[in-house]
Amino acid sequence: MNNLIGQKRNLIIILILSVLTCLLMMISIQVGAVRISWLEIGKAFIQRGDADLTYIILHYRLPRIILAILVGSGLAVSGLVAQQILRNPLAAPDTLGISAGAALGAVSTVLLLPVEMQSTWLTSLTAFVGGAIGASCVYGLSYRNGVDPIRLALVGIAVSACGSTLVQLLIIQSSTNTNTVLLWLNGSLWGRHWEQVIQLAPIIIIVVPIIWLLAKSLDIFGLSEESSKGLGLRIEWMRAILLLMTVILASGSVAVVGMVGFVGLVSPHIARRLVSGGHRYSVPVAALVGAIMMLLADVIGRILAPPLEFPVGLVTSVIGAPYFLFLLWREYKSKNRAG
Amino acid sequence: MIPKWILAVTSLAILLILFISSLMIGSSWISLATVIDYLLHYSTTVKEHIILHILRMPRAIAMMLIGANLSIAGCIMQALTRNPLASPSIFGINAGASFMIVLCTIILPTVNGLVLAGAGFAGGLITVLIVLIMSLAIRGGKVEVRMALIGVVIQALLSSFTQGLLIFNEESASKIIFWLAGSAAGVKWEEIQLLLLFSIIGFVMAVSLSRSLSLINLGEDIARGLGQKIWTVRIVGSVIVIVLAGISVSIVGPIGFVGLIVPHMTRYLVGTDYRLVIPFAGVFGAILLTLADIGSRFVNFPAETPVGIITALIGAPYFVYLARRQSRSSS
Repeated sequence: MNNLIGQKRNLIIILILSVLTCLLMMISIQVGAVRISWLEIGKAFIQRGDADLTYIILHYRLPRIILAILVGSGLAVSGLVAQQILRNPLAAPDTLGISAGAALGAVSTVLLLPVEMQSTWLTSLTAFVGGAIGASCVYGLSYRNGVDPIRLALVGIAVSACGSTLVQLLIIQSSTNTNTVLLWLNGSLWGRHWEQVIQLAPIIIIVVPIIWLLAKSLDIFGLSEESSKGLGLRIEWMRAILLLMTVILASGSVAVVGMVGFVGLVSPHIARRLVSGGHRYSVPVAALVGAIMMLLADVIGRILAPPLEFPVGLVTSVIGAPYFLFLLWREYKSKNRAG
Repeated sequence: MIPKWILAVTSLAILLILFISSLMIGSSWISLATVIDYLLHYSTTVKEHIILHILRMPRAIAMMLIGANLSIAGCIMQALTRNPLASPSIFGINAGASFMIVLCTIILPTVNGLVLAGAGFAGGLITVLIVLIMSLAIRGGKVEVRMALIGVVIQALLSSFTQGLLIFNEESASKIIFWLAGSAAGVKWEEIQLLLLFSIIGFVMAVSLSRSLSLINLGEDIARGLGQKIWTVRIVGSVIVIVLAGISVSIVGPIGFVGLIVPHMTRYLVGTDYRLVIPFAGVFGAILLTLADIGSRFVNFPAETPVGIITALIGAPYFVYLARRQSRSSS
C-alpha cells in the first residue's frame, strides 16, 4: 500500500516537472532580444507568420531550447550515475574532470586542426577522449585505499584547473573573439543551431534510455559493498559500462556547449530528494531537473539585460555554487554523526 | 640543512641572474653589455635603452615584487590558518580582488591605479570575510580541507560574476580576459611606484609579525600561553595578506599558485621559524615568478602568453600532491 502511494507520488512529480519544462520552453521561445507574442509564435509554426520572426523562432530559439534540454538532461543523468556508482555525493562531470578534459579535447580540435579536416563528429570524439582522460586522471590520482569523496573533489578541482588553463591558453593564442572564450570556459547556448542539435541528440536519445533500462543495476550499487559483491563479478563490468556512459553523456554535452558548471552536480541531489523508489524514477526526474535548470538559466541569462545575454554556464554557476556549499555542509554533518 | 647564509647568497645570486636574463630575453635579444650599459647610464638616444626602460625594466621589477608579495601572503595565510592548502588564489582572494577591479574599470573607465588598488583591497576583504564565515558555519571534518573547498567554490562563483561583467563591455573584454589570465606585459612605471610603496609597507609589517606567526604555528594554546594576542595577530595578518594580494592583482591580474607552492618550498629549505621563512619566501617567490615570466615568452614566441597560465600549470599538480597528503594524514 505504502509502495503504491510512493509510486503515485513519483508519477505526479514527474508530471509536474514535465509541465514545468513545457512552460519554461514556452517562456524561452518568447523572450530574448526581440519579444515575440504567442500569436506570432503560433503563426510561425503553421508557416503563416512574419518571415523574419519565423526565421528567428525556427532557426535561433527552437534549436537553442532543444539543446538546453538535451544538455541539461545529459549532464544531470551523467552526474546521477557517477554519484551512484562511485558512491560519492560530490562526484559529477565537473568534479571528475570530465568537463575540463572534454572541453580541452573539443577546443584543440576546433582551433588546431585545419578547417577542411573538421567535423562535428570529430569534435565529439576528441571531447570524449579528453573527458575519459580527465576522468581517469582524477580517479587515479585520488585513489588511495579507496576514494574519499572530499579528496576526489579536491583533486578534481586541480585537474579541472589544469584543463581549463590549457583551454584558456589555446584560446588566447588563437586570438578569437571574446564570445568564443566565454563560451568554452563557461558554456553558452549562444549561436547554436540545428547542426549542434543533430550532433548531440543521438547521443542523449540512445544513452539516457539505456541507463534507464539499467536502473535495477544502478540500485544495486546503493547496497553495501559486501552485498553488491555477493551478487557476483558482473558488478565490476557494470560499473565500467556505466562509467563509460557517464563520460559519453558529459563529454557529448561539453563538445556542443562548453563547460556548464554545477548542473551535473546539483540536479541528481534535487532528484533524489524529490522521488524515492530507485533509479526507475530518479533517472527521468534527474533528466527533467537538469533540463529545467538549463532552460531556467538560459531564460534568466537572456532577460537580465537584453539585448545582451549572459552565457548559460555563468548563471548555472551562480545558482549551483551555493547549493554545492550546502551539500558540503550536509556531507560533513553526516560524517560527524557517523564519527 | 644548508647553512642559511649560503642559501641567502645563492638565492640572491640566482635572482640577480634571472633579473638580468629577464631584461635580455624577449622578442628582440639585447646583449649583456647593453643591459649593463643601460643600468649604469640610461640614454634616450639608444634604441635598446628605450626598450629596456619602457618595457622590460618595469616588467622585471613588477614580477619580482609580485612574486614576493604573493609568496609572503601565502606564508602568512598558511601560518594563520595552520593550513597547508591556504593561498591567495585557492581561498578566492585573487578572484574577489579581480571582481572588484573589473567592476571598477567597467563602471569608471578612467580610474587611476590607486582606486583600482583600493578596489582590489575591498574585493580581497569581502572574500576573506565570506570564506571565514562559511567555514565557521560548516562544522566538522578537517578544517583545512573544508576551507580549501569553500574557497574554491567561492572563487568559482566570483569568477562567474567577473565574466558576467565582461558581457557589458565588449570593447575592452579581450584586454580584460588577457589581464584575468595574469600578465605583466605593459606594466608602467607609475604602477611600479604604487606597487613598490604598498609592497614595502606589507614586507615591513610581515617581518614584524613573523615572531607571532611562528608562535601561532606551534598551536593556539601555546601561543596564547606565551602571551600572544591571537585575534590581533589574525587581524593584522589578514590586513597584510589583503594589501599584498590586492595590490598585486590590481597591477598584473590574478596569478595563481605562487602563494601556494613557495611557502612549502621555503619551509622545506629553512625550517619553520617565520622570521627566516618570510624573507626567504619573498626571495624564492621573486625567483619563481621571474622564471615563469621568462618561460612565458617562449611558449608562443614571439607572442606573449600570460604568466598566470604558466604558474597554474606548475601549481595544479602540486595542489594534487598536497591534497593527497592532506587526506592521508586525516585518516
